[in-house]
Amino acid sequence: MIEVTEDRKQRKQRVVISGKLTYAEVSEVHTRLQEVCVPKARLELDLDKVTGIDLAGYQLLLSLGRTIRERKLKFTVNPGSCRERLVKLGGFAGLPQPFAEADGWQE
Amino acid sequence: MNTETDPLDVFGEEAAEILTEFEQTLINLEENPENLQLIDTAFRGLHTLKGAASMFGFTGLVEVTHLLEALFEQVRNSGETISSDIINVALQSQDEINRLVQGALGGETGQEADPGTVAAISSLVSARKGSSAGLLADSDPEKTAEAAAGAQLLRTFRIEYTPHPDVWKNGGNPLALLMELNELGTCLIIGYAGEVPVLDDLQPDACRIGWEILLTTNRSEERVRDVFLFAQDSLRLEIELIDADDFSDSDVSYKRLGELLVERGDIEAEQLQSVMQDRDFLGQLLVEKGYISGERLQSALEEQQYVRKLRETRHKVELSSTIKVRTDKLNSLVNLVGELGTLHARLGMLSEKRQDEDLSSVSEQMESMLRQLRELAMDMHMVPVGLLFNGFRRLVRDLAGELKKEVRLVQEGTEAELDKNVLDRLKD
Repeated sequence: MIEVTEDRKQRKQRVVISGKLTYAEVSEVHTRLQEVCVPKARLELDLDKVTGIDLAGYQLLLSLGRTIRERKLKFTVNPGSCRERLVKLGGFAGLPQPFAEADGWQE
Repeated sequence: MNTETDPLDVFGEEAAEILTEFEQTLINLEENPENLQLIDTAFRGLHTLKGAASMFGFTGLVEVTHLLEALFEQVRNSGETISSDIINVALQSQDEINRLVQGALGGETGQEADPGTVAAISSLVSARKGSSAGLLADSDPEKTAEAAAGAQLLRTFRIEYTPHPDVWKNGGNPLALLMELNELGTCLIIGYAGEVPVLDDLQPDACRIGWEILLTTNRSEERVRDVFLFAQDSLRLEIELIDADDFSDSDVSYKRLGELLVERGDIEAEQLQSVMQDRDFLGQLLVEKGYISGERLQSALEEQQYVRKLRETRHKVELSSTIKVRTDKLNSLVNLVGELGTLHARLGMLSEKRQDEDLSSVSEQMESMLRQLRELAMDMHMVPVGLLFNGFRRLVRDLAGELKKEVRLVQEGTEAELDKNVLDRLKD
């Protein structure tokens, strides 16, 4: 599930993904992410409530990471408890971390 | 002490050792024709001898060892029981190799191999070639896999795997395949995410990720391919053997980056040629020119590192397990230990004469260490007494064959050790 709320005061969008991020959910999440990743957008991504992720979900996050870098969007991430899942999956599959250079990843 | 060694002497010693072991291996094989490890030992011995002979340019010797090596390789790959025909021809060939070695050591460099021996080996090789297709088709893949596993040879495969974009739609799970590969041995998994586009171009249900996997395993290539049995529609699936314990090309430095990139199909030979003037920055230049992506370059570098490390470890293990020491050096060591004993006795007398407790304590400690050193030096000089009687096995075998008698030679206690000098005298 994906939820987007707008913080008008700070002029940024808060994107919260919760539950599973697997093949069954990626189409819906992808559509919402496309809507928010417009030029000059300021985004805050919260992954703390993600309870499971598969390769399709990981690929979607890689694509989001690439979009943010290429469009030079203002972006922070709160990986929360999902950080360990991402590190584990990426490490096993020899894949780069989607948000390794983003603000909030290391905190 | 003279430390200079004539390379030809080293060759002679090595050849004698290999030939003795080869003869014993063949006789053991005759008793245990299904023992794959013995076939492997015979193959390795021939391979080493061929390499040494080719360094000196002993063409006749190279010819015979090469043919025999090919024969044993056929047997090893087929996983079959070795036949008595092969044992007989191999033992005859061993005599011929011995003759060629003695000739070479005597200065005859241009010796040719006996045509009869060459013909006998060649006919066995050709006969097996003719029947090998049928043999392979008939053989049970599981049995072949087990035979390969039994040999405990470690092989490293490069697996290029890019799933079909619809892999998830079709119920496939690339991660499960990676896990299965991981269970077969040691894996280095390198993922390619460079084809994953930005959100606007992404089809979220289509897989755009690929992998290169370096797998080191004692399982057969068939077993590795079995993992991908239901992934035959993959965009890319290439499995290639890049290293093995018995690889003839096992140079620790592995391949140069450019050579490796061409072999992997990452770049064309012409592209490599165009940037070869600046070898130090080869990888960087290839990426800058757009001939190769950064991640493909990275994966080639990782492969280079992986195989180099593997070979270095293997090399270290080989070096550390045994080391050859010339007997004259061992003799010198034993003599020095003897002289040290004399010196120690003088030290003991001196400490007694002076009634010096400190000196006396040092002398006692030294005595204990000297005892250990003496035992160690003597131990290094000991060899199994069985070496003395090994020659009888062949003699009895051949005699029994000639006289058409069934003879069984039984030797007991051959593991008992004897000083090498005593053994040499007994041999004479």
